[in-house]
Amino acid sequence: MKRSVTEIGSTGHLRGVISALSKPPPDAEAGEEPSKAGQSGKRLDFAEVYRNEFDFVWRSLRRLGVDDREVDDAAQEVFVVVHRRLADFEQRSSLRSWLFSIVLRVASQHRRTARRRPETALEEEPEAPEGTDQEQALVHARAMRLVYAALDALDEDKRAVFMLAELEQMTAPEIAELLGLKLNTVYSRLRAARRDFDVALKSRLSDGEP
Amino acid sequence: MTDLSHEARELLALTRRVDGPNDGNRRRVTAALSASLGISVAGTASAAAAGSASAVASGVAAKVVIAALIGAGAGIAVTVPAAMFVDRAERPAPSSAVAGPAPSAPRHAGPVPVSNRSFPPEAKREPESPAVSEPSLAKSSAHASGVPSVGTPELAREAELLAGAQAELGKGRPQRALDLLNEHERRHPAGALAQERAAAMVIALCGAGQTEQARARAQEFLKRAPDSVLVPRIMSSCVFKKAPPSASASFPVVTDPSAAGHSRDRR
Repeated sequence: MKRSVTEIGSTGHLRGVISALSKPPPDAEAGEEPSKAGQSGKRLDFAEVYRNEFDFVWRSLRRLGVDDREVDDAAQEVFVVVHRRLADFEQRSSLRSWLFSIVLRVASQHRRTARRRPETALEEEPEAPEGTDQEQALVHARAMRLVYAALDALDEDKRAVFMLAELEQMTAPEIAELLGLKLNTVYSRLRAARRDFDVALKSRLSDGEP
Repeated sequence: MTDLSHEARELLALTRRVDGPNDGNRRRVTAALSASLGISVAGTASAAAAGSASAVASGVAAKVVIAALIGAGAGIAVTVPAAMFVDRAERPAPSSAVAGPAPSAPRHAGPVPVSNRSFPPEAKREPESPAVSEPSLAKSSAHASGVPSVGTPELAREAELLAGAQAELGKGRPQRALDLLNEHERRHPAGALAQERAAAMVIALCGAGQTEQARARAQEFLKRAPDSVLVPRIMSSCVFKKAPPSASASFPVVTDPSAAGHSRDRR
């Protein structure tokens, strides 16, 4: 039986607001095209790569579990590596594929560091996008917190596939190419990830998380 | 294929709409990258279209920002050439550019941490002084391009204030430095260089003999940004010394900037 998120008791205060949010904010789902430079054989320019890929790198890091307060640092680290290695990038894979492999490494490193580090700050709401009103921002922040909490329940491999499919909205063949996986592997990871994500989400919702 | 529940789809759709970077994230990373790579990460189509003035300002501002960042980090004069960041680690610190005592250039030449996310503004200190609105040029450029030039007027002004404060500290005029740092705090409470300001503030308060205020600021800094590359600078301030601070104290000597969270480049 399908239940709307607005019907779940503890999320009742989301009621009505979600429908008001059905219209995406400007540029929110613009979903820039992956840079084709890596496949065209032309010389890659760092500033161009940075300009085209910054948003993808930044949101991928956050979706891969980098602490909200460290995403800027992590994004910077990714682009420092990109800057250092861009000349050696042989363009045998797509630029995004190469870039994402760097993102995965940096995200993994940040997660490990975060686990070793004692908590120094209270849990913060994720930063709401600029230009939304307070109520909308609150709902967005809570939705994000729920989603990120459920993502945390996935292991690294499943999380990457799930995040690319469900948040980046890539197809399974695109994910297979990006991650250098067999298509069947992508499907099986996605299936398992969806199951785990749903379980984690329901657990958070029934625990009274907003 | 297993399907997601309806509520999961709704929440994912909401998240998808809003969980990207905002202009503040772009500005901070752009500024930090420019500082750590020694290049201007500008060159966006809209920045170029915005006029040659901003393009010219970009290079100048990047240099100022780099100088301010590094000056705050290790006590180097504001004339540090950007070129020292082009190469990694191998290049020795340029002794001729040093004005402060016993310089210690950052040896990592890796990313300068983006400070602001882990160091929100101390707005409560200046409740009567709301932030000055951002320049329209910086705003429009950032919105249009997605990735702003590092040389936005906002950033250039921040860097200028900090560089001025550094210079005053170097001349043994901590009160003048404090004035400039307070002005920075008023104008740019959430600026890209907020963490650098906070570190310089501790040093300036020490220099002015305001040890208690320096201690409060230092504690706040260490609490909010325990991994900052500026921690050694805080640790070498009067707050952590038994002897009372000298009235003319300027930059402390940072003997080992790699001691606390400085080795960010793991690759």
